[in-house]
Amino acid sequence: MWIYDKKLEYPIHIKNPNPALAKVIISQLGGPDGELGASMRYLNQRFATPYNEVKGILTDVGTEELAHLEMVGTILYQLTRNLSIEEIKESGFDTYFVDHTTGVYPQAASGTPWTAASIQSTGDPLADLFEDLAAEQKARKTYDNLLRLIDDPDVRDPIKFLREREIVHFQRFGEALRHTQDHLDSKNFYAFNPAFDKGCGK
Amino acid sequence: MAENNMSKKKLMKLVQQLDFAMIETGLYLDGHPNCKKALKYYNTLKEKRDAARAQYEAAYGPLTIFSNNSENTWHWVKTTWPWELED
Repeated sequence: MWIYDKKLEYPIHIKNPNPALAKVIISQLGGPDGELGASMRYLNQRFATPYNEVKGILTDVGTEELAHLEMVGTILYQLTRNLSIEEIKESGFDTYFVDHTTGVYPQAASGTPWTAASIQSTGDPLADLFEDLAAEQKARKTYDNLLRLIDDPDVRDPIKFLREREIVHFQRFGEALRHTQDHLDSKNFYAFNPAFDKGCGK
Repeated sequence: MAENNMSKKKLMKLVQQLDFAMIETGLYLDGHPNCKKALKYYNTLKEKRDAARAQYEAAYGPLTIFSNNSENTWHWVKTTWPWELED
């Protein structure tokens, strides 16, 4: 189960609303490499791995991604408060506003709603972990691109924190992959599914 | 009220720092469950973390649904939510 902790993982205090920034940052809420997808990917994949250490990493990283989802939602909420209709029109936020007002909705910056089609849960712990390593790099890339687009230090600060977490998670998934590979059967030369194919794991 | 005059913002920051340090260490321990150095660090944080959270909750209200400590009011819905800006 999960218990809500009534605090952010990292503080966010954005003084100046800026709907144009919200329009691009929303990709880390519900885009293809965003936090919702990250959480759903790991929390569902964890059932397939036979290794306790990997179950722990997928559970705890998947849980932290929920805290990141809340942080991105908080950034969006604070960037879109007290807007006038003029500000909404001038910033280009009008195309989002028409469907969602200033509500927080998981979509990519392109407008594509969040979809489970952007994640996998293969039932093969090795295939899953290779995806997870790529997913952390892809999310780090999105944060790098956001930092190229954002000047406001109040917004950059939590985005930098989130970017750093992608790097740490990549390290932890690297260890999860190594652990999984260390437990393959010595005759499983081509890294077949150790959770399903008989004799492929030990 | 709090045992000392630590502001709400400052105390929240301390709670966030200690929780973060424990989560980060825990994540490392997932992959290195027998690492004595990490376990030692985790254990030194635990007491500080529990104390900071207790101090925050006594002064500013519950951090989880389990820690409402009033006969009269459900403080859980009366304190600010994390995404909201105060002052």
